[in-house]
Amino acid sequence: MTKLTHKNKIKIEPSSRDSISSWLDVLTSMLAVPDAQRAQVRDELEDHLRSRVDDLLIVGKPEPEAIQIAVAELGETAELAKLITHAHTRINPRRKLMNTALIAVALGGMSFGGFTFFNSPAAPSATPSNGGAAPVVVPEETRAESQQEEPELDLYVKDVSFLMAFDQIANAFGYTADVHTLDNMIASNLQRQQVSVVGDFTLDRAIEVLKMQSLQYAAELTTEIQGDVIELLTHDEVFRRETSVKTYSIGWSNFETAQNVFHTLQEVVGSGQYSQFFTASFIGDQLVIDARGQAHQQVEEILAKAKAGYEARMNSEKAQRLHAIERIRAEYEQLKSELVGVHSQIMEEQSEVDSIRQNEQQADMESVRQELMEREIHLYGLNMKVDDLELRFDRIRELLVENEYKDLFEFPAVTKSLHERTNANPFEGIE
Amino acid sequence: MLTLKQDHSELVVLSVLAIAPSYGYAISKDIAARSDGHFKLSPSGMYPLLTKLEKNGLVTTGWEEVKAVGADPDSTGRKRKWYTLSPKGHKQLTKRIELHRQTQSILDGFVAQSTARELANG
Repeated sequence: MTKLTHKNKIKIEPSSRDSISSWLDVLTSMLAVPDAQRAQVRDELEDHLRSRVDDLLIVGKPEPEAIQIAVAELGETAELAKLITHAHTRINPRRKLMNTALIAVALGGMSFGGFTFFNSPAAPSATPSNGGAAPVVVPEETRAESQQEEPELDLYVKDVSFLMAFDQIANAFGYTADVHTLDNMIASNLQRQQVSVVGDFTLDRAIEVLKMQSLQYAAELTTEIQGDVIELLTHDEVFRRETSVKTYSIGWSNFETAQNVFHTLQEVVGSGQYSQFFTASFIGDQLVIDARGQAHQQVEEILAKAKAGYEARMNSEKAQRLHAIERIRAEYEQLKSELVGVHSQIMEEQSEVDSIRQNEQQADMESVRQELMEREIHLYGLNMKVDDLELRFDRIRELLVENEYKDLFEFPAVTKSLHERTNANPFEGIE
Repeated sequence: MLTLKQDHSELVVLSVLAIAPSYGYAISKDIAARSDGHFKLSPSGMYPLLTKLEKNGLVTTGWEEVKAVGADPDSTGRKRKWYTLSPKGHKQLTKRIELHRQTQSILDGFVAQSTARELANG
């Protein structure tokens, strides 16, 4: 901050045209600005004074009087120097934040009840000059950096509670302050905390300065603008407001998989970085989740992975089932062939037995009876073999059904055989 | 003679520059002339304001070398700082004018009511 004391207030009484230069020397010596700016201020004020003197001379004023009038119109020299210095040392918000941050760091270890931020002189900056040629307009693009859309206001909020300062700053920028979501302890602490914001600030910068001054209580508070209301919120409240309820379909899974997914979500998301304000329910084939945006993103990622894993497993199991079905079909074909063979043998044997019985009177009874008995024993054996094959066929059918080889029904030949075996004589049609 | 307050000063200076680029002394003369001498913007109010406008990007600046009539062509003249309203300055002026009209309209309402009452009271 530039301080101008009473002894700096020098009144110049010019007595000649050169006294303009003398007065400018005094004025510029009082300017607390970099040399380049000081020279420009001098040039501009000299132009003003000499233009004014020229006008007064035209209307007939003597030169000494014209100079005296011109200088007098500029007002108190020290006051003018102070005002010009202040105008030149206004710093842009970005630089201001940097400076205030440095002050805050410097004061960080001190115990204080309240302190004030003042603007400090900016570093020298190059000002465009064409060395005295025709007027030059600085291209707009080169100024883009220094142009801030956010309005900057001159604030004087000194030694008041944090909440009162917040209220005053909000009002200055045309907002209504709302702090009703703060809990009692925080509000009480902020009521005791003394702060000051003095200088030109944008809304954001003023709030940053407030927060930097208020130790730990307000550092974690955040603001949210809703229409013409600016709210002061705790992180918890911000998190709570970020929550939304979403339902996720898990119809692609079976019950067991859905349960696993649900438990995984509770473990990973429910106890992770975004666990605050996370609740999950499992209803039918829907997951209902109330959580913050980031948590929802995690849920979506986990569900996508779970679904991909489930589908890969299903594809693998389907391949295994198809392989098993191929094996069973081969066994079925072999049994079928055996049954056809045995059935053929039974037919031949029965034919032989019938033939022997027809010739029973004519032949040697003893030898015929012997052969007949042997044939009947063979026939019995064949019938036993048929029964055995039939049992094996039944077991294969049950194996298929018990293991829910539903994909079996995608193969018409097998399906047809199973259907026939279940509802009718399994050997019907076998020749 | 009325001395301009800062809020009005900005509106007036921006309005002057909206017509044409100008420099400090000419701006102060223009304000006095256009207000028939009713408004005066003192140098101690005007130059800090012009600096503020420049720093906020509302005006752009350039320098001109000025020589007295009849001066030696090879001599060095004094420097004159010219101010030109930037696009941002035009936007700011539009806002200021709108705000001024709203304020004016509200004040007119009060004045009309008071005038009616005074007239009624004879």
